[in-house]
Amino acid sequence: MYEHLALSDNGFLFDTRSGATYSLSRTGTFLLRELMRGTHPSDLAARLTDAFEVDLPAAARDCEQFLFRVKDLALLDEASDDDDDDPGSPRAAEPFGGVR
Amino acid sequence: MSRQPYDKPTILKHATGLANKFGRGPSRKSLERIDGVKVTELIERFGSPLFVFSEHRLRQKYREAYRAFSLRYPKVQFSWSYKTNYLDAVCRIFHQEGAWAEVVSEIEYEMARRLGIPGEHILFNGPYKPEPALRTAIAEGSKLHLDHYEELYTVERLAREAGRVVPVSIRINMDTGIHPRWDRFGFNLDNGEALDAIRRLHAGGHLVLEGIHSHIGTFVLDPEAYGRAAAKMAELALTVRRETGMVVKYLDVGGGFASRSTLHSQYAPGADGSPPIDDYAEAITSALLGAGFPQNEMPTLMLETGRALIDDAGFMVTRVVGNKRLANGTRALIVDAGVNVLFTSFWYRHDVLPVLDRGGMLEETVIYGPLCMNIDVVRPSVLLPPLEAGDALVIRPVGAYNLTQSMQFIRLRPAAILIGENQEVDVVRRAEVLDDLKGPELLPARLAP
Amino acid sequence: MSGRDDSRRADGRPLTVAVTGLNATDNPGPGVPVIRAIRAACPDCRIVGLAYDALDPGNYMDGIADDVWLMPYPSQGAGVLEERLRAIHATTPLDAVIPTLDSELPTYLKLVDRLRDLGIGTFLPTADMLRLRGKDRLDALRTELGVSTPRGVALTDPAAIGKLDEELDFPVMVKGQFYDAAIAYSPMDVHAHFERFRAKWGVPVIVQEFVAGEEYDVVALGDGEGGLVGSVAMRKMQLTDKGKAWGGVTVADRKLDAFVRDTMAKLRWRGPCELEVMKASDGSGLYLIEINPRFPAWVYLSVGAGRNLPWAAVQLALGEHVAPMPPAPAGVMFLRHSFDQICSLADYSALTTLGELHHAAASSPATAEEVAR
Repeated sequence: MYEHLALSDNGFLFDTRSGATYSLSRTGTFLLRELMRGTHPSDLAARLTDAFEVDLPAAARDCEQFLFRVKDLALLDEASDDDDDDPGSPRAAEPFGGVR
Repeated sequence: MSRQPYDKPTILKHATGLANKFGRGPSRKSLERIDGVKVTELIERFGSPLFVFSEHRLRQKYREAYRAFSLRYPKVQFSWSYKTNYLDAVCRIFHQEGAWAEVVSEIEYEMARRLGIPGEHILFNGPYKPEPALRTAIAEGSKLHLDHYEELYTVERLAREAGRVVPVSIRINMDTGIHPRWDRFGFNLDNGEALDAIRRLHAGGHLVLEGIHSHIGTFVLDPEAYGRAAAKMAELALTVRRETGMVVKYLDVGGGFASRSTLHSQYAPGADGSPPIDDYAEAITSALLGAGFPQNEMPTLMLETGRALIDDAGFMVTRVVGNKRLANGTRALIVDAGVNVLFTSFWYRHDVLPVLDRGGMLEETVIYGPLCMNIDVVRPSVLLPPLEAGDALVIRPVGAYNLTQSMQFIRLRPAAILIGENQEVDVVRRAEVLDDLKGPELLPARLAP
Repeated sequence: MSGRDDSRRADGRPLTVAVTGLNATDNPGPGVPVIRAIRAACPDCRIVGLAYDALDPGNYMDGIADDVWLMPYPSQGAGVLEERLRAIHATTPLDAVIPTLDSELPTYLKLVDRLRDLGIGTFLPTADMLRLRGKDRLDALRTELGVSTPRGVALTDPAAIGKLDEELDFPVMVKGQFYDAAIAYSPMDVHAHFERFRAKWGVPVIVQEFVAGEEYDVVALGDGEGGLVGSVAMRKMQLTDKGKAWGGVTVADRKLDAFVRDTMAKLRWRGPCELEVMKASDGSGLYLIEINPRFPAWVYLSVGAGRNLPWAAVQLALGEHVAPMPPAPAGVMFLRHSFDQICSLADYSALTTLGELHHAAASSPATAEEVAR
């Protein structure tokens, strides 16, 4: 689903569809990788606390902001010819609706 | 599996056509302590925002400057420029070190007198000195620096009324090869006005010329400009001696030396670009030594250095109120100290250092103050790591002008503390309370709530 | 030169030279031609490219830099630059550094002594020379050092424009303090340009007598004691839309050579520079219009003319003696060209994330999959 994103372990991201490149922090790389693996946005904070020394409220808040940023950058947008309402799509998932 | 250290999740898009800063780039800087005292403890004790002054740096800078001039010239006298920072504690430190007072208004004059400075050790500058203030200054023998003809006439009349001959100095302005040329203060030298004024005061018989003063600009980065000013002032003094017989006792080259701060228009940081005080000293003293004064008539060299002595000794401690993303993706921080207490942000690119750097990616950030006004920008762009609300930042150098020009627009003014040479911490100005702002007001009875 | 192998240091590692200005764009920095010149004299030298932008084309060009490091901008100050250079030096010991950009010179000048203590040589103009070459000081060069420059004044106040004709003959060139220039035939014209340049670049605005004639560009290397190590004079044949040389040919003119030698002696110039010289068509002689305190981007022409000035600068930075070179021959021509190079996205990724790139062997362009690995 996210095969248009090429993410390296050192935090370099290449969006093959748009041609844009990005730098991510270690945790940013981790979160995007989780999203690309299909982790549901609502589970991100828990994954983050499992892997990093951070408590759940701080992780939840940071994940919320990170997701908003990812959405703002239109990284995870589906290609226009894709079927919509894919239940696995983070775009349709709860946290995005709630951020506004 | 053990958990890894955390940093804030960040993603930065590489801008097209703009230079990239995403490599390891500049070294990361933070500032945990000021003169050995933990900043977080200062906030706990005195709140935020907070002006912090370092007594050690004040004394060190003064001694450095005094040494630079006194090693090169036999008669040197500094006067502390009150307007730069008239906290009593700051003034007293400079007076203890041997500085006289340089004031530009009657209230500054009173401040200096209250601190025990005798009239003859007060230089009275400024374009407006009310008549009662002039009377006091004449009676107390202070060094009057005349700014314009009306002032000259007034002082002459007061001298006549008092039946005495009053020593005065005149302020002059001139072309010293720098831009902008300050010509609104004093009498112009290049067109002959200054010499005319001196002839006039001499002819009146009630005034005698004691000194010549100039203040060529602010944040002047070219020491040679002072050399040119000193040479012209010396030439004028010698002309006066020839024509009138009056011996000029002192030449006052004013202030305006650059500090280590950085103007928005400067490319390199001020710490790299600002000349050391020795360069100013060399330019000024070699001009005076080469001017041709008779050995027994060498004038005293007066200096009113303000910013260069105090800027580095002042810090603003502030806390993050909130994080923001602007519509165009730019990261923004809101902090609790704005242009209400950091007036010089309009001209200078102050250092902004986190007290604690928890890691994470550096990102260009705009720093906004707490005012509900669009102009309240502390730094339009500075590289900072991710920060949380409540995190402390130190802004420097802010010792010059920020405290004296701070205002009470929608917020009260914060406390100022002084860190002593043995790390003792004293409040030298308490944080304001509402009555400090509302005390002078009177509410007509018919409007009473 | 002595008989020893120039490309090796005493400890057997290759002579290593760092060069800045890898922005080989349509308005190129001099880094790539300087590196090519060094390579021409010393094929086995190790070249460390110091880049300000991950997208500087010189970072990726074959056979240019062996290693590329991203540098902090000069605006970050000498302390940050020193820290970065020390970090590089710890990994890749440097023998010399050749800065090639105007904006970084003041910062490098502050570090000359510290770099020498680290064993890194430089050969640069002094801070005083940099001040002298400021556009608003060109007139002082004429009056104080006797260098032939057009008469000029630095204007801060438009009120002085009315009196210009007492000092200068029209037409005049009006110049912004950093960039821009325009010809003016009357005080009215000066007024118009003054307001425009003041708004754009601030004051002073410089007004110089216009010298009609032929322009020559000269790359020169001074020894700092009044001597000229070598120079190559060029006449532009082809210009970019910004007026930069895109092609040119060397000239051999005894008067011009003598003028360059005399000017460099009066300035006691140390290190590389580019002199812009006008030969007046009225026969009044040669005039120095501008000094750029670094190699020009067309400096590779000096190699073509048999006067490898960048390599001489490296030798001087290493403290070696370089014999003065005879005047360059005429008729050596250059034409610049551009071509599209296939780069490796993985290299770009390395520069953006790590800030360094090491060209071990020729790399092939990486695919998105390789980046993702």
